[in-house]
Amino acid sequence: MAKKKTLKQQDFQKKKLKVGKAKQGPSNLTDTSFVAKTILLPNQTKLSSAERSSGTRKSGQQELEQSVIKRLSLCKHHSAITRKETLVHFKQQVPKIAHSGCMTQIMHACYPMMCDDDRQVREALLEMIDEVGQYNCDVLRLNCRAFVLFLSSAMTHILSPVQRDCGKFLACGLKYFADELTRNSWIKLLRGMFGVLGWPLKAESPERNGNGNNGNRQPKKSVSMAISSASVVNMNSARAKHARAINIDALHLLIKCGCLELVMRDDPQPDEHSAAAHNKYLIPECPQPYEHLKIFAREIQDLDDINQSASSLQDLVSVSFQDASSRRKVVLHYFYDDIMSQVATLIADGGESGKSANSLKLLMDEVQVRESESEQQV
Amino acid sequence: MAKRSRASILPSNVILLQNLVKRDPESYREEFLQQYSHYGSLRDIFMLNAVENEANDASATAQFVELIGFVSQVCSCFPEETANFPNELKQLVLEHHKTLPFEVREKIITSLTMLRNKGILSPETLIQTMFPLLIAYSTQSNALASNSHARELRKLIYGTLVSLLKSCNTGSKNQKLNRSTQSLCFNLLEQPDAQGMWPARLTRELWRRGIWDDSRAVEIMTQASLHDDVKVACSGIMFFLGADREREENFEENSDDEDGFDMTALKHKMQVNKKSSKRGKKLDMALKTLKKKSNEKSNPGQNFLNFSAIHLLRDPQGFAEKLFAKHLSSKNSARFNLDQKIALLQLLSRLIGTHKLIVLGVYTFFLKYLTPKQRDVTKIMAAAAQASHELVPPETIFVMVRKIADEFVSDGVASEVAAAGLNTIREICSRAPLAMDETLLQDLTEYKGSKAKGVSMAAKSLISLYREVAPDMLKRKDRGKTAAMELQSAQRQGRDFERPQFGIENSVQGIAGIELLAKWKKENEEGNEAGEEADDNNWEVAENESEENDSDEGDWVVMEDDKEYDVDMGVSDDEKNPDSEERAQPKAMSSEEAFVELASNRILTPADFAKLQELRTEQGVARLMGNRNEETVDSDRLVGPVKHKNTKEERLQSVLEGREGREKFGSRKGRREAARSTTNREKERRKNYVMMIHKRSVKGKQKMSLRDRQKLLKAHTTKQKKRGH
Repeated sequence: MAKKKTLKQQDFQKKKLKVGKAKQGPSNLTDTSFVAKTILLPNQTKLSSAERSSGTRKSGQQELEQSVIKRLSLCKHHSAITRKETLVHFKQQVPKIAHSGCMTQIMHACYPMMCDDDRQVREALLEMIDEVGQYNCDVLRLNCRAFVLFLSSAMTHILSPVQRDCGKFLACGLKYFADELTRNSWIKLLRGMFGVLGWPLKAESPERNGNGNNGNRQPKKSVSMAISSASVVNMNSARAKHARAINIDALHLLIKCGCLELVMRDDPQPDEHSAAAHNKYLIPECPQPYEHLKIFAREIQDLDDINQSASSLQDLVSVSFQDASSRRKVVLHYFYDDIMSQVATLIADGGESGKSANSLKLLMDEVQVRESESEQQV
Repeated sequence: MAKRSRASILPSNVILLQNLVKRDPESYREEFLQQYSHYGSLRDIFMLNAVENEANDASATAQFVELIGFVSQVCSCFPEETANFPNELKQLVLEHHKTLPFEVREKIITSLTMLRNKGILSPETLIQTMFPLLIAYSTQSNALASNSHARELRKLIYGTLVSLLKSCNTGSKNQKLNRSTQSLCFNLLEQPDAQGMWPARLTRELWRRGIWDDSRAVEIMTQASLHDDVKVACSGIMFFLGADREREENFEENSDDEDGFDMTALKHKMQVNKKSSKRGKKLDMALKTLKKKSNEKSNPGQNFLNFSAIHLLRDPQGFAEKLFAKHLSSKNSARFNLDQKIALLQLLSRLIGTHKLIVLGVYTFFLKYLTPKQRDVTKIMAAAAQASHELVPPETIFVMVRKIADEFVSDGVASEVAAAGLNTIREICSRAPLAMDETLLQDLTEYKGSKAKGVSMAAKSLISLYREVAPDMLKRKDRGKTAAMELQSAQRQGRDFERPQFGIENSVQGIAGIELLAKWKKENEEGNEAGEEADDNNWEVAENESEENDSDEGDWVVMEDDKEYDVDMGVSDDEKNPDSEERAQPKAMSSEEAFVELASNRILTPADFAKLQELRTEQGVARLMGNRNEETVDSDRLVGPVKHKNTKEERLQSVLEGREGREKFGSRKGRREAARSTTNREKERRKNYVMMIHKRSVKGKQKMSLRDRQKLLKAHTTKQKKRGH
């Protein structure tokens, strides 16, 4: 009996406080300590608008740049609307910060959105690039390599809407820095556009690898479906048809810029300030004798390059073409037949894309004439 | 239906496309090329970002990882287009391993492994990729970088390497690959930093699995043991000390899975229990496992040459000398802690004992550590005993024996200490009998009368050792009957009793194990008269047949439940227990005598050799079942049998064990067997006396005569006793 009492009492006994010892915790205390190498605290900072706080110690320009840089992380935001609004915000700020140092950061953050799933985001990005090009196209020229990388990534994207919008981006790029684009990534872009349009390239079929410079091409032996996902989708919707016309136009523009040596930019008075700042870092206008060495580019080296003759199209992807005549030769050798055969069917179909196809056909004829002229000169 | 057909044409994700491409590569070539070029563009993006040290976002990483997996899965369908793909992966992971995200690195490594499994990548290339990565991830700067996951990656790469070498060596050994890998290991071990850990670990693992079992692997570990880095050196040393046991355990585990045979328990029982008839069964069991092992050996798939690593050394003398000079005697020895030093000493002494090497510096080195207060002194003593053998000059060992005798064996020390000292001296002297002085021996044998059991046992074992080796060194009363008689006869004939001398070898001649055969013959002579006649038949016995006989013995025997069997226990025991007979005739035949006896009488037939093999196997079983291995000294045994006082819990437990299944003792007073109410009689008895005092029955008692009252009282008490109240 006595024992039972003591057992019961134990629960209600008051713990005695002792001098020099920490207070004892209750029996139901839960240990919440843990060990971790790094602790990440997710938090959000409220962005204050730059205009309001201007006039303090920092100059207004610096404040502006700071606020823009703070917003860069929003480019990776999970919500499409936020991404779009960020881009719109950037576009509004571009006139003020076009010549500041943060532009490269902005462009690097924004280019990945070429592959964005959301159509509105892509449209906003296009508008923003256009805006940047209007105010300071040297920024675009500097980041040409990144532009091409993400553009080619978008061209081969598995979602066809992303692919379809590539023509717009390409056209936009050609508008501002056609020279860099055509010189450095001529074949890459041509192949990409072929992929977007869903046109099969005979030059890539395995049969051609052996006899690269054969004039009369053999028909493909393998039974390929010859209809890629992009082309199937293209045939179906009205929007896709419209996109196809735009893409053909972009291809037209690309070949025109590359082969006919037209200067697209119409900037009669180059900005003095920017020329002084950037010209020494830029590739000069004249053809580069050492460009093909690719000293400053990081790419996978093809170990088998030495063994093979560099005739197949695969090998030419990493080669840069500095002058228009070599670009012409490549186009005529590898792409001419495919273009002509595809264009013929499109013209027969008519419509919006038929018109674009017709103009492309005329361009190809002109290119051929130009090439034969230059050959006669030699 | 329409939807389904569209889905089969238009893949919307990479996994679906992978399925379609695998089924019909030709039709989906365009799609594959599109994804391949997407992979290419993503790769370029990653490389660009790697240069600029910019973090990629999660979705791009996931996409890239997915695509790498996809391309490596289907690239066997398009060998021409993807000829450069493995090289690209290799280059990517080798050059940008610092900057790529963890997921991408992991995926690249697993993809490379997969490509190797598909035969697209050669194993040499994979190893050349993995080794630099392994080294890169174990350097400090990389491992400490945040989010590098270096530990996981090291684990992954190491596992890949091991499984690669395993898969390349199943069936026939891929010597070319092994050699190139081993040369990589050698190169790594030549550098003085801690990177030598990896080759050491790899070799240990592969040795344990029986994949590498040649002298080159042992040579790698030799290099590792002589490495400057303490960790690497210890890894090498532990390999030599424990590698063989590890390997055996590895194989034993496999066999345990099959029949649940517990070898360790059997060993323990053999050590502790008395010898009984049950032992025969256990012997059979052990025999079976031994046979199973030999069968496994004869399998073509797994023919391991089961040499121990120490036997495969190319230059044991050089190795032992370098080990001693570099790690123990020089200034470097301060780098090792005591446990590591003990391991070093164990290895060194094993080497010396096994190969009969001469490293004279060791014996004086031991002196420093041979004191009773030294931690782990039994291990050091065991090492000291192992390090002595008969080719070492006795003076060098005697210094050690003297030291042990002075430090350990005196009246002022605890009995365990004295027992350990005496046992160690016995072990040393059994290996090098000349390292003993006559006076010292006679002093030591005085301890046979010690009250402590361990001490007296140790002293007696020393006596019995010298009775065989050099009885004239003992005191007269200790010599024993046979030795004393031999000595006397030698004196009578006027010649000296021959003592063993340094430098005179007494090695085994003739056929190993022939004394066993001779004994067996002698036993069977009486029962088997016809043996001589069947002699001719014995010549035709082939080796295979004897093996068949073996397997026949091990077959299952059906014992039915309700039948009765005549079991002659005595006979079967005699047949199956050669040990018991050995005890019956105390003096075993020496091999020389046996050889003379057998070889002079008859010519050995193949059947005899088969029997000889069998007998030797039996002896092997005995060794397997816990009898001591001659080469190594067990440090736990040196102390002798120690009886610890039980704690209170242990005592209480044993008491409670004894009470199980037993009725309680003690008085049964006041206890009822069955539940019931009180009887009238009991009520009467418990009734208050005052109420009864005036009743006639009570009053009448007072008027009784003294004698009657006495009678009544006596009867009453006896009755009460009988009833149990």
